[in-house]
Amino acid sequence: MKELVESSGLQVAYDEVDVVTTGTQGAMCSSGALINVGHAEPPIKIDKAWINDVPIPHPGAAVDLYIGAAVASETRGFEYGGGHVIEDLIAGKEVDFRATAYGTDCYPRTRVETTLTKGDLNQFILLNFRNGYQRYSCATNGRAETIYTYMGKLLPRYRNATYSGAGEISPLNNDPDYETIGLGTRIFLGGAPGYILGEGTQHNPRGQLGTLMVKGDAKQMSPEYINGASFTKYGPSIYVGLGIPIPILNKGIVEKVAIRDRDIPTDIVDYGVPSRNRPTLRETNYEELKSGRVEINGRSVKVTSMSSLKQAYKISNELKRWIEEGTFTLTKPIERLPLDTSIGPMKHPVEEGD
Amino acid sequence: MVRVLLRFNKDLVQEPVTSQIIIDHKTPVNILSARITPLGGEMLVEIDSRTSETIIGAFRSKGVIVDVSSLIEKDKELCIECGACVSLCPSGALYHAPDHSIGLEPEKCSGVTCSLCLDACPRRALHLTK
Repeated sequence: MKELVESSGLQVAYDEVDVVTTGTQGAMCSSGALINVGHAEPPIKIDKAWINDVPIPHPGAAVDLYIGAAVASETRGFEYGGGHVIEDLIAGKEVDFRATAYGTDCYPRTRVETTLTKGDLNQFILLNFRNGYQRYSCATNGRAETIYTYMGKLLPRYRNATYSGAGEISPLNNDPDYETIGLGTRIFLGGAPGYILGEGTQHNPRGQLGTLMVKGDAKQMSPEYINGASFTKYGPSIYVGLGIPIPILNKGIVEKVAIRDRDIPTDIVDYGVPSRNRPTLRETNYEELKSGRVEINGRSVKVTSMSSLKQAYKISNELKRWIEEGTFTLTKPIERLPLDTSIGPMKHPVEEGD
Repeated sequence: MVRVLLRFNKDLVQEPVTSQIIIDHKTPVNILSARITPLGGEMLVEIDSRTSETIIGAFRSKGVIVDVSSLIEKDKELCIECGACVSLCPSGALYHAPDHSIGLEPEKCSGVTCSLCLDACPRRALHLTK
């Protein structure tokens, strides 16, 4: 589509193309899965639960649990976490489940232990609070030692850099005014149909940093597109495959989906400074980042992606195939994502000695 | 060329072992990376495949531990082709292929003497060959 607009112009592209598909697959810690494990006999009102030794938060009623992707195993540490539990369940593997409770008159049981597969769960819903970041900072490290971050391993004195996001094929960059994206938009999520629930946490459209909250039936998903991850000295996470179809409703949208990597700027930021306000070294764009080398302080250093560009293309092609086959239909959002919000820092916290 | 890892104990690092073998056998030894301290050390070297058996034998007879395979290998099942490893690889053995997958050229890899990528893979798809 982008090449078609460049070679033949807006009108031809508008006449020829009905839908543009997009894709991305990056590590998104703010992901997880809501599960309902069913009632034991006698029943239990779960207080604490574990799957494969990963603590599973219990935010609601008796047997509803939320597998947080970034929660680490109590026995294997960062090498295995909630993201791996979700991937294992999606892959059809059996997991060890145990829970404890204080016992009530209506739920007398205080312990339960069993094994579970996804078939044993009443619901297994991927429910992610923040996915699909429009773009992200490029990370490097000015310190004298190697640091380990959620943006990967960063060598000392700006010797490498990492970035995330698929740039011109990433969903929100192709519809930056959210004309077709919002509550109710049907999407590709983890290899199955899913939905956008609205803006994600830290949604910051004024800063071109929009995010999405999404859900989908994890029982239908594939381990090809949902992958547990371990970031050394940082923690576990999960790679989430996400794709959004953008219907070409008007020529304005054609212009927007024609966006190229060179049109998507981002900052190179020093993650060696452990502050909320990390210093920006310079501006770059996704074209330079995808070239594999970026200039930092007058020196050309290697830069690579933390998200999978290969998967991003695979997702956009798979979604295209679904649409062509007629197994996936597009929906109109009930409410579009907000365009005029921004995010703020935490209110000044109480420090020791205050 | 054959790539081998040579391990020297603390007594061997006092001797000009490698130079002596080069002189005795009139053969080039290409040192790719080396880490030597008074307590011992490791060197990754390339030797001519036609004389490799003799040269490996010569190193072993002097007490050097010769490891013929300790490079990085990638588990294709686990790798999701992200690229977290690529910017760390100083030799260019790990690279972004034109089809956006992550390529690995073992002949460029410095293996155990480098290992920068090993703990950077979020999928733990990189290992040293046994």
